[in-house]
Amino acid sequence: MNFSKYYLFFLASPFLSACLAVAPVIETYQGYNLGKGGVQAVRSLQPIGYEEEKAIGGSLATQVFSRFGSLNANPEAHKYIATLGRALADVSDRPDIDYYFAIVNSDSPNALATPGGYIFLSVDLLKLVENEAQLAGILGHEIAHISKRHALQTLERSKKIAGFGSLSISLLGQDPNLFGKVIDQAGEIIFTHGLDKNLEYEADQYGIELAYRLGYNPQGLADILKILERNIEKDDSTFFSTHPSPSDRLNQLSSKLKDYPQSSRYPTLAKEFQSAIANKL
Amino acid sequence: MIRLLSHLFALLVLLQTSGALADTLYVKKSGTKLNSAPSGKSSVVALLKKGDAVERISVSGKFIEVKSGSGKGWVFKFKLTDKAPINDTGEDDVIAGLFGKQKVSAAEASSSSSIRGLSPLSEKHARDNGISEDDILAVKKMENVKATPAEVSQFLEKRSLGEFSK
Repeated sequence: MNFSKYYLFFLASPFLSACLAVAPVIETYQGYNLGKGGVQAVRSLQPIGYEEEKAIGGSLATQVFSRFGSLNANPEAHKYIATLGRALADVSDRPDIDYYFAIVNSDSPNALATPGGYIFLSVDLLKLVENEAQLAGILGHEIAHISKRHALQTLERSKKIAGFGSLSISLLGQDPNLFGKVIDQAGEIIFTHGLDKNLEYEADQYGIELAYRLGYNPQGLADILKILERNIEKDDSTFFSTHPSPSDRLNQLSSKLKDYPQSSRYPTLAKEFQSAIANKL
Repeated sequence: MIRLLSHLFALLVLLQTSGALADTLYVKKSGTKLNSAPSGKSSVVALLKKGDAVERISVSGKFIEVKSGSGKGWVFKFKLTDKAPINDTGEDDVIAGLFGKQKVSAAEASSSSSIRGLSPLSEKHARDNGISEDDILAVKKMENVKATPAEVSQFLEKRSLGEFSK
């Protein structure tokens, strides 16, 4: 290759880069179902937009209270969780949306997130938490699910709704049956089967990273998983039916935690957690 | 000589495509503080908007010194990204990819912040499916409990965390 060819490639490379950046978008458009007689090879649903995400997540949020328990009414504990959660979301890769936090009066230790920024912690989970670093690990895990659009990605790949190509808010509004079908499918993913275990492992890794970014001891999530392993009845727990076992998660986390070699120098802040939560739930 | 220049250009192309020369960073969220020194306790020079492009000058701990349209200063490094923000919609992504990200970023900032509260679609679906008014109200209540940027800063400063860590 001579000099002039290099020069041309150098000049052209920003345009090529732009084309490469655009390529996945075009590829997604190729997945459209054009209806009878049209292209039948529907690969997956078009990425779901924020307004649609919010409508799906909001519907699921109403179901959380219906399925698991009422909203815990302690305003101080609620504000404390919302403040720590917002601080973690601010250092995530998706800080530009609203996140909403709730404590649920449930006697089963669990935490879950629905699309659109809704995060729920059960009272019994908070009763097992010992310090702020552990709480930061849990909240970081749930923020990771939303930040990385885990449930939406799973929904977009679902064969049950693949034929619709694109879900716009106007389409969902016009067709309550379609919206119901989407909510049923999303509910099945979040409340019944859980996400793919690799997405759970990714949320664990990203969760400890968010806690670390704020300066908490990144060991916090591993510590609360050990506590959960000792305290949850495996047979009747939603936590176990929707997540890999704590021991599997701990095994996956152990190699990641080696990336934080001096974790013991970071605080766990037990007193701060106790004064914010103890005797308030 | 020409051969040497050819190799130099090849290296430049390689560095450019790998992003190694990309010294432009982007603000992830509107309201991000541009501080006068690498500490959250230092004075705030300006508040940056989502999608603002800044040039990296140097690094000190968890802060990056940057040159922005609002002047020089320091930003907590986790508030910046090396990826230009993209919009939610595929069509706008195409436009952003071809014609630059700034206008799209501003549009996204307003669209994200304007979609607030429980969607009427969610509310209707909940009622149609027998969800109680109390459970619908619970979602609205959780949406109303928010921490302001000042409250988050106060929380972090009290604990020497985030941009206030030593």
